Order: sequence, then C-alpha cells, then structure tokens
Amino acid sequence: MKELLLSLLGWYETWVILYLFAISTIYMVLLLTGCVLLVHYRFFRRDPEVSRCLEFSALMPPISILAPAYDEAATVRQSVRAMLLLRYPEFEVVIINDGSKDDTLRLLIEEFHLYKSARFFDKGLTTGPIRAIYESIDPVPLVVIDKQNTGKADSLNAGINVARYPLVCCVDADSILEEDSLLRAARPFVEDPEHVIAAGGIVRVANGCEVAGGRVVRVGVPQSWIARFQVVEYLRAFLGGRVAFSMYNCLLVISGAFGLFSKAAIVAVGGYGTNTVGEDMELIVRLHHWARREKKDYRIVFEPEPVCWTEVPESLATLHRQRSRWQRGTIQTLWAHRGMIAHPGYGLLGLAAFPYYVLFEMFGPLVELTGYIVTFMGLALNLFNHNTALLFFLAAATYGILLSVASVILEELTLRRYPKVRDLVLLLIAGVLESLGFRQLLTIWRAQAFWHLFRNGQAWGAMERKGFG
Amino acid sequence: MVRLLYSRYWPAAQRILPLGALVLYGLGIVAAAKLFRSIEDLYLRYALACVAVQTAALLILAVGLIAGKMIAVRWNERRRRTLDQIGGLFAQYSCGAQCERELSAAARVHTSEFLEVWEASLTTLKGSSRLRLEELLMRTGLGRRLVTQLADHDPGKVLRAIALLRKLESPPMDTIEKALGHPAEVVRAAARITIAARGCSESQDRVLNQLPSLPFWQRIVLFQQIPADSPALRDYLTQAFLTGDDTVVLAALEFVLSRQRLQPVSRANRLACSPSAEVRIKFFKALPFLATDEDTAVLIRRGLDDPDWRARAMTARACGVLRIASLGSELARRFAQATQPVEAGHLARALAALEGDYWQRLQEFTVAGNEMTRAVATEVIEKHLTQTQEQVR
Repeated sequence: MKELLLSLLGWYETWVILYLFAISTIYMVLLLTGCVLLVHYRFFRRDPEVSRCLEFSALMPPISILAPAYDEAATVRQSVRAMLLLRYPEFEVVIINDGSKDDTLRLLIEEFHLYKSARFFDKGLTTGPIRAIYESIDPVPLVVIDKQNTGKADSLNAGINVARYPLVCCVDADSILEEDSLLRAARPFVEDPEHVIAAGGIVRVANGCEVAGGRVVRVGVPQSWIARFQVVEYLRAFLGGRVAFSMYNCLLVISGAFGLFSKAAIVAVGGYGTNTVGEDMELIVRLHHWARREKKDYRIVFEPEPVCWTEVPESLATLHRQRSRWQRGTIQTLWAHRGMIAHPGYGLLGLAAFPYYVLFEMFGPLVELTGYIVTFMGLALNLFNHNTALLFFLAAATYGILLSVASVILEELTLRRYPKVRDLVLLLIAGVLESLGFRQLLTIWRAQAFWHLFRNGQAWGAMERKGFG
Repeated sequence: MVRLLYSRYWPAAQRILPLGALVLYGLGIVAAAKLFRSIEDLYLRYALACVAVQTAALLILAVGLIAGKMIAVRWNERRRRTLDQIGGLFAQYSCGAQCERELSAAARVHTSEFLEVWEASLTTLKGSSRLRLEELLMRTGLGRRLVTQLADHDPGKVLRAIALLRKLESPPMDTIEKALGHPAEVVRAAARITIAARGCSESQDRVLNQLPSLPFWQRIVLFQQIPADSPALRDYLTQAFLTGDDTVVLAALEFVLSRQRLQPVSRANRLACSPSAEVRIKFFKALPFLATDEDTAVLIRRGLDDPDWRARAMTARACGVLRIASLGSELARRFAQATQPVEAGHLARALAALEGDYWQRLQEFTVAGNEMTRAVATEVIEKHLTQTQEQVR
C-alpha cells in the first residue's frame, strides 16, 4: 500500500514540477518576445512631431471616455478633472454613477455645475434603469449618468448607449490616465482603421507615486511590500504576456482599467456581459469569437506606452477579494467560450492562447496548490527524500524569481519609469520575495475561487481607497 | 542591431530572437549538468544545473541592472550639467557675447549635448538670434557632418540628421530629398514630412502625389505640415477633385477636412453623386469648406435624398453650418420622418441654426412627432439654450 502511495505521489510530484517548469518557460518566451517588441516600439514611436500633428488633427476619431463609479467620493473629482485635461482633439467624459451610497453624485454636481439634461440616447444595449443624465453648464465635455446599482458591466453598457463617439475608452473612475494616453492608445486605430477593434494600454501601480492635480508627477515604489509585489506582477503581466499575445493577435485580456474599443464592435457583440465578474476579459474573448465567426479581418492590440495609473490593494483582505474575483472571471469566461479551446477554426487563438489560459491560468492554481500539499504530505510521511524535494522546488522557485527580475529589467531597458537606483533595488528584492510566500498565498486564494464561484454573487467588491495626493 | 530594427528582416528576427535566447538558456543547463557528472540521478543532476544556471543568470542580471542604473544616473547627471553649461553659453551667444571659441570646443567634445541645446534653442528663438545659431552650426562643422549623415545607411543617424536640419531656415532640401530613396520606410516618412513642410513646389508636388497610397496616419501628419498657401497644394487639390479616382478624391477631402479652410472645387456634382458612399459622406462633411462651382442648395437637396443615412446626416449638418434657409421646410419635413437618431440630431441642429420660423418648428416637434424626434428636439433646444446662456455669462 505504501509503495503504491509512494509511486502515485512521486508521479504526481514529477508532473507538478514539470508543469511549473512549463509555465515558467512559457512566461520566459513571452517576456523575451515582449522585450524584443518593446525595443522595436521604442525606436518607431519616438517622433514628437508626429504626436503633435495627431494631437491637432481634426481627422483623429473622437472618443467617449466611460468611467463607472461606485462609492468613489474620495477620488472622483480629481479623476474627472484629470480626464478633462487629457490631450486629444475631440473627446467627452461619461461618468456612470452606479447607485453610489456615498456623495459621489453630489460632489460631481457641485464641482462641475451639472444640470439634468434631456440628452437623447439610443438604447442599443439593454441596461438597468437610468435615473437621470447630467451635463455641465460649463464648456466642458462632461456627461454624468445616474443609475440604479446594477454592477460595473451594466454601467459600462449604459455608458456605451449614451456615448456619442465612434471609439469608447473604458476606464476605472479612480484611475489616472497620463495626459497623452488617449493619443497613444488611439494610434493603432489611426494606423489601421479598417482592422483594429480594440486596444489596451498598460496599467501601472500608483501607490508610492506623487500625485498632484490629477497627474502622477513623480514615480516611486510603494511603501508596503504587498503593493511592491504587485508592481512586479503588473510589470511581468503587461510587458511580457500582453505584448507577446498582442503580436499574434491572441490577446485575451484588456484591462478593465484602461481599454479603447470601437463602439460599433461592442454593440455588435451585445456589450459587456453582465453574468460574469470578469467582464473585461469576457468582452475581449467575445469580440474574438464574434470576429472569427464572422470571418472578419480584425486586430485586438496592446500598446505599452499609454499609461493608466491605478491604486492597488495594500491590505490582504482587499487583495484576496480582488484576486478571487479575477480568477472567478477567468473561469467563467473560459467556460462560457469553451467551444474555442483547441478549435482549429480559431487559429492560434484556439490552438495556443486558449489552451494556455485553460491549462495555466485557470487550472494553474489548483495544480500548484495540490503540488504543495503532496510535497508536504510526502515529507511528513517520510515518503520523499528531503533534499530532492527541496532541490526541485528551489529550481522552480529560482525560475520564478528570474522571471520577476527579468520583468524589472525589461521595464528599465524600455520604458524607464523608475528614476532612482533605490527604486530598482526595492523592485528586485520584491521580485525575489514575491516567489517566497506571496505567490503561494495568491495561489491559495485563486484556487479558492473555484469554490467561491458557486456561492458568491457578482458584487463589485469594495476597494478601500486612500485617494491620491 | 539598430539597422536590423529598421530592416525588412526584423519581423523574422523578432520571432527568432526569443527562441534563440531560450535555446541558449537550455544549452547553458546542459553545459552546467556536465559539471555535475558525479551525481548519478539524472533528474537531480539537471535540477541542480537549473538552479545553478538560474542563480547565475539572476545574479548577472541583478548586478548588471543595478550597476547599469547607477552608471546611467551618474551619466545623466553629468549630461545635465553639460547641457546647463552649453545652454548658458548659447544664451550668452544669442545675446551677442563673444563665446564662439568655447561653443566650438563644446561642439567638438560634447556633440550630442551641443546639438540637443541647439535644437531646443531654435524652437524658442526668432530673428537675428536664431540666424546666429544657424550660422554657428555651420561654423562648428556640425552642419556639414549632419548633411553627410543624411546619406548614411543607419536609419537612426539619418532620422536625427533630418530632425535637426529641418529646423534650419533653409534646410538642404536636395540632400533631404535623397532620403526618399532610403531603404527604411521610417526615414522616407521623415523625409516626406520635411519636404511637405519646407520643400519647393516640385518636391511638395511629388510628395502630394504619393498621398493616396500612404497609410491614413501618415496622411494626417502630412496634412498638418503642408503650408496652407502652398501653390503645390492648391494645384494638387484642384487636380485631385477632377480625377475619377476615389482614393485620390478621398485623400483630398480628408485634406480639406483636416485644414478646415475654404477650398475651390469644380465638378462638385460628380462628387455628390459618386457611386462610393465613402466619397459622398466625406464630400458632404467637407461641403462647408468647399467653394463649389454649383448651387450649394441643389447639392444639399441631392445629399438629403442620398440612400445612405450617414451622407444624409452630413448633408443636414452642412446645411446648418451654411445656414441655407431656403431648405428649412425640407429639413423639418425630413426631421419629422427621421428614423435614424444621428441623422435626426443633425437635422434638428440644422433647424436650430436656421433660427426664426425653423426654431419655432423645432419647438413644436418637442410635443409632436414620434418618441425619438421629440427627445432629439428637446435635447437640441436645451443644448442651444445652455450654449446661449454660457455666451451671456
């Protein structure tokens, strides 16, 4: 009996380790591809003359910025002011107050001199009831939709209905867009207007940065280690994964914090899905699904230079809620579009990107967690050789650390947002420490998401905001 | 490496390079495993090799990153100091001080910083001070060097040279034009931009003739660069509208929309009846900026009958901008029957712009008509009143 158990555990252990190596190797390829692409990007997007011309051209497609807000009183005024100061020829800001219980709406009305408007809109997408639409009496392109609390996805759909322009930029109301981010994000739509239907920008961690007047004026590393780990995580995900997936038109996620879409394409697929907690990923997958089914020549791209700064959770409880929601969203989306998995009709997307997401993003936490459990069991029951187990896990851990450190280097080689040596040293340390506890904690939370999926509803998940500045 | 970046082999290279790096990593592990030959267990040996290679890579990368950053920070500080010093010399020189010898020395020793300050100074200075700086560039020999760089194979150098030389009052356009034949598209694009802005009529003409075949974003950039009073532009637009080629006409219409200045156009009727919906939409959108040889009211009436709602919407918009009161009743009739909200919006705004009786008609629509037209009319009236209130304020 003991021998059978030993061979079973040993067999599983070997597979888990191979699995961990496989996932790290894929990350490595993604990071290296991202590095090569980013270097190329730096060389081809540097002419300020071109940006200046685009900024003042009447031919740039106008954009509606949609920002759903739920209990955002701490930051909403500053965020809206910053959005109104963006550099772009023609745009409007549409704030969707999703039944906030705090003073969000009152503050907006007072700050921007809003009046109840008779603005007409096409109800192309079905949404929850809208109580009122407000516009500013001042000459600023601001629209505020006041609606009953029906969730983020439904709020965005309401915003899409009310939006007047052909491109819609979906952002979080508490995020800070850099002033040229719209110009940069719109560039793919101008370069390839026939094919690009969505573009995403990079989301960076605002914790630790100095914010003034709704702008990040000094980039810094956060004080808390939890936020520092997330800086490394974000760098790894955005600079590696998304750049590389975008190259092969296999991008499955555009962050809900900052994405630019063709309104016609979103309306054609029925808007954001309201029956999932990962509405941002679900929309992108549905756009892929729709475009490939309709045999459209399309592109969904990631642009590394348009930057959106966001505040990340610094408490474990909030982070737990956030990661659990993200994982549930991933599971729901992949399950809803399971027909695309390994389907040759969907090309590389079906044959590579989807299987990758299912194997490593969806089931990854379960495999990793069971791997830890089996190892501890084996060690406790004296079934494994201590040194062998330790060595294998050390190999897997150093691989993970190498990836984190590589992503920090990638940032420094290409975008160089962190000005001080101290910042980089802290990020390097965070990259090392992240693999020694934090990552395992996230794995447990993400694995729990399978269980939570069957119990919880689709709440926004309260985020404790400190507010910028 | 830079040349590879701009070459046509880059798409292949960007697929191969990451895999190459991975293969290198794999070979590193195999080589490291040979060092641990004494360990008999194959799994253990390779695990140890993995740890060794990864730790070594980690250490090299981390040390390299920190050392690189420290060097970069110091280098930037020194560079900033040099920039400040050269900036000070430039300020003195442009005020008439005799510091040419120091500046020549700075140009020799700190060429890159000198050119950076020179470029920045030229964007702020005007008149004789600016001319003095231009002459200084030539006297230091850097002007000649930049001109020579225009013929370089390295796209980075050519781009930098074009960016600097286009700041001159009389840039060496003959040499810049040669860059149109450079193998890198990015260099050709930069040369086109410079020629559009600063070239002679013939060169501008050549660039303008390439417009329809250029990507949309490059057209946008060129539209912004060509001076409005350029004879080449006038001739180009006149000719473009006469060609039956839709791509040429579309590019010309985009130009008009981009510049928003009155442009004479002949045979406008042909554009209004073009089989291409895209041409008709853009034509009616640009109509307020077109001085046509035909009666605008007739053209608008034709546009209002267009089978495509987008063309009808743009026609209604043009009618409002041009305030053609004789078509007010027609607009009101069409507004009452409108089914497309965007078209209805433009019709309502046009009625509001016509004022007088048509403003009254629009008010009547807030209680008559279907739900959509009532809502659109109410919104347009509200917007009109708030704008008036804002103007009063």
